[in-house]
Amino acid sequence: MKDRPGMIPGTTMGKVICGVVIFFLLATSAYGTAVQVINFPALMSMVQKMVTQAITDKIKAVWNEEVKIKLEPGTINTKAVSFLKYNISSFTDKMISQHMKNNAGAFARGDGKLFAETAKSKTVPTIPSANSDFKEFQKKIREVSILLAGAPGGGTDKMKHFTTAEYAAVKIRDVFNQASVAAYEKASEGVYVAERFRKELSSFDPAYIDGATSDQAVKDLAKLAYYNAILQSEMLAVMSQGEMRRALEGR
Amino acid sequence: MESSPPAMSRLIIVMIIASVLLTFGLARNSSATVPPCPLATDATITQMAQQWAAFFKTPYCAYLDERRNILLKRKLAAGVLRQTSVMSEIFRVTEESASTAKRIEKAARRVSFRDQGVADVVAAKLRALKSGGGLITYSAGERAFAKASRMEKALEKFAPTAFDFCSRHQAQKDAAKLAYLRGLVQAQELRLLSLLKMMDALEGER
Repeated sequence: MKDRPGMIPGTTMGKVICGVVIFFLLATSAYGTAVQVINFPALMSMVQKMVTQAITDKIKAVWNEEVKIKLEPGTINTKAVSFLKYNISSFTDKMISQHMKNNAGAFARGDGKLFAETAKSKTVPTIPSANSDFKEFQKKIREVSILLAGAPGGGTDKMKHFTTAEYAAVKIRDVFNQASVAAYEKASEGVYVAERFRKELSSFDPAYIDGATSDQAVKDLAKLAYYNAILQSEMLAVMSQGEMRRALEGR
Repeated sequence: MESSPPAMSRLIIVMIIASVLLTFGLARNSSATVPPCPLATDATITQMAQQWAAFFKTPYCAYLDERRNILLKRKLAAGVLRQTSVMSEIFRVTEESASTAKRIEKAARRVSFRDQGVADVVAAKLRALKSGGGLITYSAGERAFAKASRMEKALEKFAPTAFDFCSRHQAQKDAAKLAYLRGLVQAQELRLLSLLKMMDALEGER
């Protein structure tokens, strides 16, 4: 009985058991080695690709959302702002180059018909309302401009006997009248633009800016800075025209 | 007795089987950090890769969403200058007065056209216009002064140091609101300046 255990490997059963044990040991070892050497890099490569793709997709989605927010327009509707389009300069230039040289002023030889008609008309000269149509506004301003321009002087023929000083004085007065027309018309444009700006912009409630994103607020800020620059240039134009006229005053 | 193994032999067999099982278990445990892939097929690896990817992706996406929401919240925060609606109301009233226009018309109608030369009529008309312009300018100046005073009072209630303690996004909104108010004030300035220059143009020698 004591020799029985030592004899087991020698028996058929013992050999089978030993074979099975060796097989399991070898299979387990091969199995573990196979996972680490062959499958692990493939797995990591796949994971890397998937994670990279997932993160890239997420960044793209967030970025697209951010761009969408950044592209949203501001709260101030620029289409409703029309004060920028009113400009009286070409109207004034036309008045000075055509009307004043031909029908008004000391050097004009015209018959003064337009001047006389405007003077004698029953139309009451007044500073027109900025709420009226711009063409109507211009028409009213032009009536005053014609009066400011003065009657035609008959040209240089009438000034033949003038001394140099008198001739210079007439010239200065003529230029002064032109400057008065230019200053009056530019200033009237200033009144019109200022009233339009007030009317159009005051309908906007600035509290809307609080409800929008800061990106929209920056856009509104840029638009308002632009409008303010327009207003300032309008002020500069009105002031400079007025000061040019003043420089000629009393000469 | 020869056909059935004795108790000792059975015990040895059980021990061998147990040791085999134990070896197999240890092999599994030793490869726990690198999970074994008994069926090392593409499908298994893909499935595992998806699990890992989700494991990395979820916290990253959550972090990104959280940051984005914080940023959006900051962008939507209202500015610190709250009285702008009230301030803009100050400028909502029109500058033009119907009564002033009527007075100008009345003054202008006094100009007589009878027995007068063109130059006299023009001078009379321009005088009437000048006095009318004076009324409009005075009225505009009075209103502008009232508006400026109200605006000044409204602005005095606000301390600009508040901008130091608010976010950049809020300051941007307030900058836009202030630019808006500045525009309204400038329009008022332009109107008054233009009226003065119109008055200037009506006087002087010609």
